[in-house]
Amino acid sequence: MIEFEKAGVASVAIVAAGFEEDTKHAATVFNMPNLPYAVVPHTFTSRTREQVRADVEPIIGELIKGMTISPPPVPGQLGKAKELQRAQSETFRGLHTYDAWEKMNEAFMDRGWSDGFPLVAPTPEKVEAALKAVTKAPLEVLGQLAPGNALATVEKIAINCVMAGCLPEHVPVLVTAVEAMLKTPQSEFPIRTIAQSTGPHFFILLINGPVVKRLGINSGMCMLGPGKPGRVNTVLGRALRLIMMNVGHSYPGNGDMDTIGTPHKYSFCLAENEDASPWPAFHEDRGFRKDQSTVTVLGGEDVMHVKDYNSHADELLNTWACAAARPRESQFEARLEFTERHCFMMISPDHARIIAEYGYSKRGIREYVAAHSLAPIKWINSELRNRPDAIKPQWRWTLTADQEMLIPVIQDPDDIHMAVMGGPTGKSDFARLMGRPTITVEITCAAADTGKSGAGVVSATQTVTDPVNCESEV
Amino acid sequence: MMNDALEVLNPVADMPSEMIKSAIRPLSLDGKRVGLYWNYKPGGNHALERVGEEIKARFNVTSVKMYSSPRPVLKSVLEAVKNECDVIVGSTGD
Repeated sequence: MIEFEKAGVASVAIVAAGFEEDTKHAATVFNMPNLPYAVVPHTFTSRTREQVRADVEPIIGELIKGMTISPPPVPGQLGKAKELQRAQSETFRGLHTYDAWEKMNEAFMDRGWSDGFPLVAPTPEKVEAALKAVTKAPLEVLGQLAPGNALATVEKIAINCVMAGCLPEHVPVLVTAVEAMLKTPQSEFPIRTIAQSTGPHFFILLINGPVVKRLGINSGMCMLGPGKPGRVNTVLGRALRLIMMNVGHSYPGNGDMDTIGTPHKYSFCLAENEDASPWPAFHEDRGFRKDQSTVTVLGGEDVMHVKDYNSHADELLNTWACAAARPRESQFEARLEFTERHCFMMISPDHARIIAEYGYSKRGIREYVAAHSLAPIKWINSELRNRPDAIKPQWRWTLTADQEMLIPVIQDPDDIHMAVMGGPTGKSDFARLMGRPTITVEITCAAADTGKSGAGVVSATQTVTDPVNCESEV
Repeated sequence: MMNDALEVLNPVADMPSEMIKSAIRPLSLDGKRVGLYWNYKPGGNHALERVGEEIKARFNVTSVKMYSSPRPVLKSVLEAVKNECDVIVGSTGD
């Protein structure tokens, strides 16, 4: 709506009850906090046409006012951009340091800055040490991070890393992750939607290359925790969540409207078990050398367990195809510019070995799983049959076709992404993605004296777009 | 007695503070071109349809036209709204 206002068209929005704060927040972050809106008592989804028409009738007067009465200016509106300064400090006092730390945690929780677990105190000393691990200047702005579009400075990223429990050498991974997110177009990687959606979407970090071993990131058993084996993964994933909250301004109920929520949001950091993979690693598929360290960010929607102790590769791939055959009607919807059809196979070493022994390349896996991801049309277009205007034109034919006809849910094999990871057993996981994985970015901002991160300081950041699937939309 | 102090840094990123000035509002919708913007979210079209009917009943408007676009709004739709509308009602949330 704010785009219309910028174009000189007086605008007013219809907003559902419960979404007022999110609307005010969104309007503020898009720099028009006084955008007029009127509130209906229910969300329109899952309501009949008649119910929706009745819901909107009482607010039509307010909508008319929104278009004909100028909204009052907000204090500070039209002010000049402020000069960016280093983070302000705040002092908590207590009977002893632990008491002061508890007070800090209570205050940060009250303000909504915490993920719910105790935070490490971001003292100036710890933040300074974190900043020394990065070659970038503290006030360098990497971009404006959605959904809040706040300024993602290296310093604010470092502060949140410290709060998550990161060591200084972990910080370049997160700086690179944010770069990967900001470099990827919204049409491919919809940060705002992943963060703000009413669905349980979450961010997945995928780490490749020598940095995995250097930092002790777990690529094997229990990498996602809990406990000691995945402790580095845990703090890296947690740091990205805190960055999304305090830098992206995606706070629960205010920039994150998740209906139920998911524990996947707390932390989700994967590393490829490259030693156990019979194929080139994920980052090698994207044009990097094996000895380069990279970060890729994925938008997860859900995770399904794929258990199969069969020894035959085709049977095993059929099990994978079953997981891939769960349709999302939204993949046929016109309203989404980005794609909801991508998926990610987290293949255990045992599964990888069996499939590879039968001669399957990654390309072969993609083609097999896509071709066998069959579901009846009626499952795929179920929600869209009652609103044919919302279906993508190229899928209109499904409305009148035999509804029992089986078609592949995964239409393009290149929509399937994969990496080998985990412990030694025949159990893997499958994640449906929101958008496609971000551009993979090499970790080049690690300061040499940290001695642990990345492949050292490289003169320029290399970014390589996935060589497959550069075309968008089905 | 509070003996110990813990200094910490603020983790919240700053907003750029340039704000957008709201568009000039007409005094009445009489003679105006009214847009209805639907982002394909289910049910929003029904709400806008009802709003359009009521505006037509209450005012002598020049036109009422529905626009739809996936999110974020397509440039072509933005351009059309800019050229064809004085005011617009959007059903964009959940």
